[in-house]
Formats: sequence, C-alpha cells, structure tokens
Amino acid sequence: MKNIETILDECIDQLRAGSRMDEVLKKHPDVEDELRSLLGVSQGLQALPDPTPSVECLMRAMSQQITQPARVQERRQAKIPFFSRPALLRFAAGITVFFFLGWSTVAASSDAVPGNFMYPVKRFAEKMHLIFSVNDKDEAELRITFSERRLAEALKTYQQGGGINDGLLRQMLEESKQALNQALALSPEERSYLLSRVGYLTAHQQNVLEAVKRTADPKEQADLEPISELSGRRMQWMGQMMKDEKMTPPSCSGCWGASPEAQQNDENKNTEPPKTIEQWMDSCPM
Amino acid sequence: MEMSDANQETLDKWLKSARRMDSQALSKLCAHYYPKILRFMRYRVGSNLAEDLTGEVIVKIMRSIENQSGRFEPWLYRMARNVIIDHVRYRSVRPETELSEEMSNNLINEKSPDTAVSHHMDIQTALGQVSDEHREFLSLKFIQGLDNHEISEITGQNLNAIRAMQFRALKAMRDVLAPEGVET
Repeated sequence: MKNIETILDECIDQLRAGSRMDEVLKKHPDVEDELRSLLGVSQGLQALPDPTPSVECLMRAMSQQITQPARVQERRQAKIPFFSRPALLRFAAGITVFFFLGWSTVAASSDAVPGNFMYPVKRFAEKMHLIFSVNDKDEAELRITFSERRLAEALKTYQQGGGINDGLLRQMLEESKQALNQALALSPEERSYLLSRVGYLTAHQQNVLEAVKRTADPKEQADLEPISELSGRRMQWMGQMMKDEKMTPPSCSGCWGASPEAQQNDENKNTEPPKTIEQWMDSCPM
Repeated sequence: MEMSDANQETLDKWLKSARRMDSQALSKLCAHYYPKILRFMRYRVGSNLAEDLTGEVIVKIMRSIENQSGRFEPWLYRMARNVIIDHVRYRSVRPETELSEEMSNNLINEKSPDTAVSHHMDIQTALGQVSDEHREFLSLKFIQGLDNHEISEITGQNLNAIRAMQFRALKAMRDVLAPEGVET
C-alpha cells in the first residue's frame, strides 16, 4: 500500500498535468481530507504573485556588483581577479559606460568608426538595444539599422583612406541575414514588410559596393571582389525568395534574379528550388 | 514582467555561446533568468534582500558560465542557494527572521479587502514562518515550478527524501495557516 507521501506526490503531478482536484481526490477516499488541505496549500503557493522586475532593476543590480563589490566577491577576489575575463571586462565596461557616462556618451559615439576610441561604446550600445528589444519585429528592425550602419562605417573608413574593411562588410551581410531570421517568426504581413525592407537594403548595398568598385584602385577592387560577389549572390537569392513569397522585388538596374550563367548552372545541377521561407534561409549565401 | 520570452531552443543557443564567453549571449541569458532568480529570492529572503542577492547570482553566472556543464536551471538554482547560504553565514542572521518581519509589515500596511490579496498575504506570512529547509523546498517545487528530479539535482536529496520533505513542508504550512484544528 502506498504511503501518504507518495499519494500526495502523485496527486500534485496529476494536478500539474491538468486534472481537477475532485477527480484526483476521488481516488483516495481514505485520506481525502488530509490531501485536500495539503493540495490547497500547494495551489496557494503556486498562485503567489511574481515580483515585478524591471530593466532598471537588472541594470542596477549589475552595476552595483561592479561598482560596489559585495562581500562574497571581495572574498573571491583573492582567487579570481575581478577583471580577469574578457567577457566580464566587456560587460563591466559597458555597464559602467551606461551608468557613469550616460546616454549622451552613447549618442556621441554614433559617428564612430573602427579605430576610434568611442567605437566600442557604439557597438555595446547596439548590443544592449538588442538585449532589450521587446519582440522579433523590433529585433529585425534593429538588425536592419545595424546592417546600414556597418555599410556607412565601411564607406567612411574607405573615404578616410583606410581601404576596404571586409570585416565590416561581412558584418553588414550578417546583420541583414539575422533580420531575415527574425522575420521568420512574424505574422505574414509583418514578414512581408520586413522581407521587403531587407530586399531594398540588399539592393542598395549592392549598388554602393558596385559604385565603390568602379572608383577603387586595383588592390582595393581585389579586396572588395569577394564581398561584392557574395552580396550579388545574396541579392539574387533575395530576389528569388521574394518572388517565391509573391512579392515584387525592388527594381535595381536589372540586377534581380539569377544571371544567365547562374541559371544555366542551376539547370545543370537540376536542383529543386526552396519551397518555404525556412528552406530559403537554409540556402542563404554566406 | 518577462524580460525575455525565449523558447528552449533559443536558450540552448544562448547557453552554448555564453559558455564560449560570448558577451551578448551571456547578457541575454542573464536578462532571461533574472526574473526567475528574483522570484526565487523574493520568497526565500524577502524583497529587501532579493534584488541584492539576485545581483550576486548574476555576477556568479558571469564568472563561472565558462565551466558550466549539465543542465542549466539546476546549476542556476544551486548557485542561488549557495548565495543565500553565504549570506546567512556572513550576517549570522536567520533569513526567516527578516522575511517574517517584512511580511508582518506588509500585512499591517497593505491590508486589502480583496480576498485573493488577503489569501496571498496569508500564504506569504505562513511561508515566512516555516523552517528555512521547508521554505526552500516549497519555493523550488511550487513557486519555481520545478519537478522532483530537478530538486534532487539541486539539493542532492534522493526522490524518497524529497517526497517526505514535500509532505512535511506542506503540513507545516497548513499548521501555520490553520493551527489547532482551525478550518482552512
């Protein structure tokens, strides 16, 4: 015969699985009263309200730990230096920037490019924006903005004589891919809107890259070629995907759709085109 | 307020990246679990201390995530539990004393005619009056919604001991809520 502890545990599991209290108690008439009172307490505990944490609360907790290390941290400092880990250092630096230099510093960093001492502040502010983005649409919009920024930074670096920064350009492509990834989770209307935005963004970026290539010296052209080629393939891929989604790709000097050579290659490969947007994402050129 | 509504797949992805000290994934992970830890702390040590101790847990996560292995949530709660133990040792103060005082104040200052609110306060007050061991179990099982296997991973007790603890802890709560034959 089962003891009361086991019966109680089974009853709790059944209630959690969605059974009604009366149904659960009916199986144990001998201990019904005892069970009813204990299960009542358990349900009261489950119904206790959540405390209401806020972003400020989280940030304050973190900044307090960093600026006023508590006793536990002090004891541990002897073993592990506080700023010994790169991620912690970056995190601490960011939090410190937010709270002690304020948002004005972040705003002042908006024109920063790699090599500028404000650039890490700018990138950290972007990360914080992403962390506290409220939903997938918000995150997708941010990714699009960041993709535009990476291109602007690459252009500014180029105009200042810094050459082609392929790292920034690859980040530009990565951000727009992330925006597409976020778009997958959205409703059809929102998804179409975001796909359209990424489509126009991709076309714009390809046009800019082609324009830069025309004015660049041979070495810079060689540096730019792999990115430009990747961006071109991405744009063709975007164009096909948008047609598949029954959307109108933005016109872009006839640059949408696969080139005759690419079409010939595709025919030779005899591959099935992707049927869903998820399949499209899997085939995204990177 | 849920700071993050990530599904398990996303959480696993963040965890994997956070273990490689990816600061963005680590930040997202902390932001996601912050409300859960705060809730655990809120009903273990009271709201005055909950935010401070939750902050300590966050820093501990940041420091030790690199070496984290196995299931994340039990690891997280073990860490939260250790922070409370450290706190009790450091202050040499029983946490239930602070909790009971705070909850009594709540009852004096925030009496409400609303039955549900009064019931919540009764439950909170009773929770402040049971032993720390019982409160820990009740928090993990009913407030955090963990199952017996997860609690076993956190506390190191076997499943039989956990069932027995569950019975004793609920009985203790019931006795505080309705002592000496008073109907609940």
